[in-house]
Amino acid sequence: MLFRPKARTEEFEAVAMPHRNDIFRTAVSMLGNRSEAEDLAQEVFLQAWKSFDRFEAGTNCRAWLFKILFHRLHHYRRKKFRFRFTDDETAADRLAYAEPVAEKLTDEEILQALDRLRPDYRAVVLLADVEELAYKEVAAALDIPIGTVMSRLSRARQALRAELAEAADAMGIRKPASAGGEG
Amino acid sequence: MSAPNTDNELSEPLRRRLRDAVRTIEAPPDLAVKIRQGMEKTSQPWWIQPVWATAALFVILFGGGLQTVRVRQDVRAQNTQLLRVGLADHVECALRLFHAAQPATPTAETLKQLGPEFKTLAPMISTRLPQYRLVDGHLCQAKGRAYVHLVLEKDGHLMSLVITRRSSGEAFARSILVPTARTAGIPIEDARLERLSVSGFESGRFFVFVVSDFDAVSNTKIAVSIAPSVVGILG
Repeated sequence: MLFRPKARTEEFEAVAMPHRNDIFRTAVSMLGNRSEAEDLAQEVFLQAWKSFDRFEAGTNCRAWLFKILFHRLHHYRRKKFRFRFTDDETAADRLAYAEPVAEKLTDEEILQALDRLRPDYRAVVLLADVEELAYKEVAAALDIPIGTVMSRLSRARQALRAELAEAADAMGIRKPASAGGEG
Repeated sequence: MSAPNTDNELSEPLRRRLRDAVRTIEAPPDLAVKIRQGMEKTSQPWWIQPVWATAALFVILFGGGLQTVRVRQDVRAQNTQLLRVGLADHVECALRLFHAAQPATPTAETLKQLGPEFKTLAPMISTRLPQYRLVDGHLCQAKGRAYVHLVLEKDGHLMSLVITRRSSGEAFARSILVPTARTAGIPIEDARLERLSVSGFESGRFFVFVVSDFDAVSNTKIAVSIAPSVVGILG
């Protein structure tokens, strides 16, 4: 790429740049490090800029940026990804729990609970529940089948609720358990 | 379309808290600047990319190309200077007032001296920002550039409105100021320098800066709330 028409630059400014916060916070949540997340966010936007000729106007630029982000994250996986697995069996066993009193937990406690999820769970929760992407877009961003997104999201939400319940327990602010729990 | 409801959906309060918590994470203000610098580098034509720079230098030196590079650098330096002078003005004038025992509201006569364009500006600012108190309005000069400087105060915080006339062809440097908002078609561009938030916008004839020690979002909101009226008055 030698020269980029001014109109294309303006289009990139208009459709891609407004999402830098979304990309950055997802990168922070995945890497747990602001400095690395900043580098990664820059890489994502630079990659997007280089490939912008291939981006189809009118399609979801935000979802496309997330796809690039998770593609770049794969490069971090072996060296820098923090594989802090929760115990799946333990989480799955906690079926009859009460809903954590989310409003009484601090942002930090919620972020810590999210951080304790294994990365593939954290990724689907971030994309589907925080960034509110459609399942199809989550599947494209993570390069996995849509069925996997749904099953992984189900397990991830369960694990997150368990983590939040544990945090609420520790704070002594958990609601009394009811039959069947939240669902 | 967002993800559909399922039995495994997080309850809405829980989901909302999760969203709110994650969204407290904000990108550093200079991220956009760094991205744009990266974009600029990749957009540079081959003859000014580092690999070719040395070889091309000889040609450029004798082809007049260096002059073009110099002009670009000068424009950028002027913008940096413009911004820093605006900040210096804010720091020196506003903070001096901050330490004054009881800053007085400037008289109508003082404001009139600022020039005809600014006659209605101060009252308009007071209307648009009723929670702020106008504590000073003066003309000042720094490095050969004239500024109108209005100083407002709220709860012990000072906010400056720094205005300077644009020279022909002058525009904000995108490598310093980052577009973050738009109001009534006016782009608001932000920078964070020396622990101060700066939001700038352009009218046809003036550069206008809102400078404060508020966070970037609050500072931008102030600029957004006054920009259409300021541009309407100053033209």
